[in-house]
Amino acid sequence: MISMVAMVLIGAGALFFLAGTIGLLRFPDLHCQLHALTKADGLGLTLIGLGAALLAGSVGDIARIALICAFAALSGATCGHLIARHARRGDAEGRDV
Amino acid sequence: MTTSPRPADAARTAITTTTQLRAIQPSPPVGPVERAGLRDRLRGLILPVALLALIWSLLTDWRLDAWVFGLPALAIAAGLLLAMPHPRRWRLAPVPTLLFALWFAVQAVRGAVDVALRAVAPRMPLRPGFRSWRTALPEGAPRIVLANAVTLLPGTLSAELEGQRLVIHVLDAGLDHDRALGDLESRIAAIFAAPLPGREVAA
Repeated sequence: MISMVAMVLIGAGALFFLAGTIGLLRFPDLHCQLHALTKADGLGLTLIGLGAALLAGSVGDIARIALICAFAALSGATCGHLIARHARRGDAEGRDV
Repeated sequence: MTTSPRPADAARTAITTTTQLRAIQPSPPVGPVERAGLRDRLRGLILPVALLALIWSLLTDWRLDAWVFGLPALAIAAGLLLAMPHPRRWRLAPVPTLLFALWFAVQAVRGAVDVALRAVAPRMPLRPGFRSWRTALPEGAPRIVLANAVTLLPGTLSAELEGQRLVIHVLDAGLDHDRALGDLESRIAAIFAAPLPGREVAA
């Protein structure tokens, strides 16, 4: 039963990764692509992490999975912000020159 | 806008958000550290270093030989914390923090579902655009939390944070984001017990 729930969670997570990748390929510009990567992939990883945590054997494994998901969410949002800022400033400089 | 990229600024933001979100404030450097302040700052390192050591131990399953990498990394982190501008300590209000975490989890799922549906929809409904938001939150951790949270909310992505002004990229410029942003801001203000002066105005 638990492994069934875990499979559903991991499958849903993979679907979000798929949607995020489709967004990366289809969306017209960098900022829209960042939306797809930061949000959809973030939830995908969290769902896969939840599924893996259900299958995990020890408390240490669960703690590690939780840490990885938390750090990935934090660095994803921060990197998205930095990339978006860099792109914006690059644009502004291109116009000024 | 003719501001040139500031790599030091970017690095500081990154480090701040990944190490200890609530303890450090990326304010402009405030001169050399005074003698009396140094002892306080060294004492202030105890908690972050203990926290980082605990995280490393958890990640490495308490293996001693992993400290070959962990110890230098910890030393560098402690050095960076000392080199950073003087941190401002924020007290987190427990109940609003818990409420925010729950609310935020729901919003992040909504945001992911929203962008996933837009990505796979055949007509791909996008009306992208930038908008500016003037935040009433105090400088430092509250604004960093705001910028990071905006990115995970439905349809919004923080593109630039400069002083009070947060530039936000939106997937659908036709939607009204003001209410969601105001709501997010007051929730963050509650976490940090920071009063919001008056009503925030969209710039």
